[in-house]
Amino acid sequence: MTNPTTRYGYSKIVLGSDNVDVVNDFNNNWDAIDLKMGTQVATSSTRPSSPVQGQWEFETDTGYSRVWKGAAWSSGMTVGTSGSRPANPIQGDELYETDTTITRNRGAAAWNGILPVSVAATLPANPIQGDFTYISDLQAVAYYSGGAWHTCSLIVCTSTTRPTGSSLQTGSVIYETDTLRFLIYNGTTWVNKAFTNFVCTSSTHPGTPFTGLEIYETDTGLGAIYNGTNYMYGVQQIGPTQILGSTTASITFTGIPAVNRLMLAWRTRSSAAGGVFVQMQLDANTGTNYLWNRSASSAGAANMGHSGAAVAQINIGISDATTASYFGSGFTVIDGWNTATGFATCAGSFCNFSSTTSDDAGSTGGQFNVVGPHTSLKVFLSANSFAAGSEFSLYALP
Amino acid sequence: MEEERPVHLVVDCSTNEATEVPLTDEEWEEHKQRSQEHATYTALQAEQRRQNQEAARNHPDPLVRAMAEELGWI
Repeated sequence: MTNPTTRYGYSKIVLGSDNVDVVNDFNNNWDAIDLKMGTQVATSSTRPSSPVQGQWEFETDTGYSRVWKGAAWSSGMTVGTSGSRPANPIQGDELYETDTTITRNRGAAAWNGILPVSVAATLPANPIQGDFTYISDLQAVAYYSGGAWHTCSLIVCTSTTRPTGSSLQTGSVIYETDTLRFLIYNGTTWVNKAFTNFVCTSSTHPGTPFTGLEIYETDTGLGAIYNGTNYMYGVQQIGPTQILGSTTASITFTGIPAVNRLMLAWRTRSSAAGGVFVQMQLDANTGTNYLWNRSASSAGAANMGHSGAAVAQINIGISDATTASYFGSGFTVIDGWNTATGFATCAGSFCNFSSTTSDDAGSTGGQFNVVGPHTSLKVFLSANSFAAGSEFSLYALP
Repeated sequence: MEEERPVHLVVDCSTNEATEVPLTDEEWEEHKQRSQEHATYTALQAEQRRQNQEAARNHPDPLVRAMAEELGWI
């Protein structure tokens, strides 16, 4: 053993020496060569003690083949980073990236990846087109298109845990378990679109509606359902019902959308005893531009009336406060609200109870001699004010 | 007892916001005058009704009294 080989240290015979050691120079060498021929068989706890660079071993307990790279055993897979992938790879090469923890194998022309679980704020660096990752905080899958990450599965969340992050794209979809809504990301924010209803205007209905599609028109405030042929509109409340908390001289609804037909419904009580008329004006117009007609019964006697000339309001009902807790109610439907063809007209019914023996009920009609479209509606009494508890609702009719 | 000055309630249907707007002094004076006139009218009407009921109740013709009762006047 005075002249060992470079790598494994097998004993060589010193040239010119007369001493040949059969055991050390021959038998031990052959045993050692026999042991190391091909891949050395070992276990994970009995790996070769003095391996040389490039030496392979096979572990019977783990099934792994490993190579000694000079300082440590390696699985044979190249370990690198996403920024320094091996040059000139060949098909089948494997790479483990320490910065992304991605395992890659080389396809015919590109690296494929087995990506670890990530989070929205720290998506894998230097991704390759086609990479997929599971984003644990979004509970969603995202793919890399070559230019950006894109969330490509439905994200289930709540209205307070909506996802953020660079993987969101226009068209990403979430489902909120608290609001039971589907929302679509429009590139900036989450919006409610066309799953159960479609937000549009009366002139921008969806192009290819399906039977059962619901729409909401922002300009009219109306909702409708497509029945396969036409949109079937429903009665739509315009603004919240107003229940007066204190004595109020008048109530005015402004910003009323351009719908064809409105219905005003009321339950009123006057602030003082004695019957007074419930009256109405449109568009804050106080001129003598109104006509009205009443056909009613008061305490069993006919109570007819009409404006007889253009006046400054339409009488649409009667209210009183003679007896505690007594109220009256009524409604009037206003046609031609949004049209510039002809005047708006109204028709309705009312009732009012002043006492057990004094009451009024009947129908009224009226006209506003100014063409539309109209935008506001004022309701008031011919004298006194509306008492607390009076309430008003305004609806759009198809 | 004089009515406290009421307010106008304005409801913007485009925002659903309701705003209370106080009556101007001019509106308030006009409102009070109209309410007073109506109170006077109501009182006169009630007195007229009372007198008519009294006259019907004391009418010498029993047929008139029966009709007034049937019609709910007395």
